[in-house]
Amino acid sequence: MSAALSGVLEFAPPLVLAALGGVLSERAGVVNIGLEGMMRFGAFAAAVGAFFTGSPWLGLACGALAGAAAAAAHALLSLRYRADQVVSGIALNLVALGLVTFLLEATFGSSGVSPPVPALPRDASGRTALAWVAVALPILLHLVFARTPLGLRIRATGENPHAAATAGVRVLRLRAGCVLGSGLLAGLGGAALSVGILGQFDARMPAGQGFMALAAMVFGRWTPLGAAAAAFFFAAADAFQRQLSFSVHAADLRLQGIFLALPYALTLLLLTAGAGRIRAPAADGIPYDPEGRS
Amino acid sequence: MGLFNIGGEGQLIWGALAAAVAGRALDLPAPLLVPAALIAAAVAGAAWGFIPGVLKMYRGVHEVISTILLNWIAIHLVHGWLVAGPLAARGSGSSVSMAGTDPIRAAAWLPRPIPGSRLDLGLPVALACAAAVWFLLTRMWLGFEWRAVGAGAVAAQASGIATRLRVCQAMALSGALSGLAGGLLVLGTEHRYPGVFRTGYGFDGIAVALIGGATAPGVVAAGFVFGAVRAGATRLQLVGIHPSFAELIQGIAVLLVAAPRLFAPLLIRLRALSRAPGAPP
Repeated sequence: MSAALSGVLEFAPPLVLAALGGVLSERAGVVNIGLEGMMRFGAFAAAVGAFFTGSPWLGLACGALAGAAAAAAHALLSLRYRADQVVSGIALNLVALGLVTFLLEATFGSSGVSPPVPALPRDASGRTALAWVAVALPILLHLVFARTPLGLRIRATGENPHAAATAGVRVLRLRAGCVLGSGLLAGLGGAALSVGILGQFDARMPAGQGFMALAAMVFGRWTPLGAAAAAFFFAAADAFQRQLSFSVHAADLRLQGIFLALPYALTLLLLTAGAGRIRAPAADGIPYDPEGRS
Repeated sequence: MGLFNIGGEGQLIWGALAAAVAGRALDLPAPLLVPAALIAAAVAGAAWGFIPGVLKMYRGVHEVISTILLNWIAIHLVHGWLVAGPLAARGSGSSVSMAGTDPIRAAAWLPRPIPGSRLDLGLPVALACAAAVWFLLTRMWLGFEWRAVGAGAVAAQASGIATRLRVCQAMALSGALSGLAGGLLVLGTEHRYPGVFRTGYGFDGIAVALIGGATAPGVVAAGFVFGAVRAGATRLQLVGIHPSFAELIQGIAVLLVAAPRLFAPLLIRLRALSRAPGAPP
């Protein structure tokens, strides 16, 4: 049991960080389907940074910055040029898929994995410092949303940007900040995969974790604590599945697919059951036009 | 109609599997077997596409989230279980080898009418589907109602359109087309359900639909361009350019389409330039 728990703390940080990134962006009213691509950029940049500087911490910073840079593209397209936010996010995912595959080959001459890079130090039970970030950050973000003027402004921007603008909020600037913060968190989540968990970059990263983070965000009703709880739940299901695949007989390995599909099916069921009570921020996904009325 | 079907990948996977199973199990002459396998593929894709439509309309689950989840469920169930276990090729021996299903009957292979060319009947089938979708969307009552729902669900509902039914129908048809695409891949190219089948066609399909401006003729044009980019990428590899450039180009193309405002000023300037010679100062 305690092994399973430490497994959760080992594997949860990428998902928790990315899910918080989604919450931050969407509470300000900008849909972020591009989490997957931002995590991919972050994971790769972190591996490159750690490889060439020799420091996993600098790698982590590179990952966060790369995620934020990708988010800057999303912010530019969806805020300045009022692109459809879902389309912009999908485009970002496609670019990340192609560009990172190419850069992996160009940097390390490999289309599969990067060479091992310096990884974050782990404590006795395999946790990195990011495990504690994943525990503390949801609480911090919750306090920001619930208790600070900045949090109120962000929530107001996501619910009714015109009212927020009337009250003196610079809507586009605030939204851009939230999207950048979202990319920073997603990039950090990607870095947690490469320099945190695996100690190298794998061409398949983040293997759908960005999409799972989106599901966790919806499942957690767009709240930091809810999204983090959902992300921990997914990570627990993942850790449980891993343990199971170690313990079951090799002949039953073909059943692995069912176990892998279970968390997704469970999420869909829970969403279906609880959907009536789940509501997105009112202005989520609607481009803000300062001269428009709504 | 204002719906995002991100689930093309999952629908394509079920369609491909259905075609592989039908193409193996049914003992029919070729003129019957090929359509039967394709119909099985379309039905399987439609069933998988129907789920998010129902969940959205009756339970309020956003289709982007549900289709993403359904993609992963399909990928894990089919690749991790069905193709590796119950439906794996007999005599593949070790349980770890990812062999895929048994090959389909030769009668189920898509005919290749032009000798020496790899072109199969998939292209005419795809073009016929595009024409049918175009006709449905622009010339038929049902298509009009779908577009009305996409343009404004509340107004459509108020004018007596069965909004929920229309959404479910559109998602099912979208799934049927994705499933058909999977069926064409199996019958035309793979000739079985391979153990590793990460095509990315489902995601390419989204990009193609976006670039085509969500109209049937636009999608055909964008589909040909993307197909050419894909095919070209393999050639480019020969001269040392990485095939991942194809994905990069697709992503950038979607980016450009996503933000028409980015180019509006440029286009206006270009138009002004092209008019300039004849126009008075």
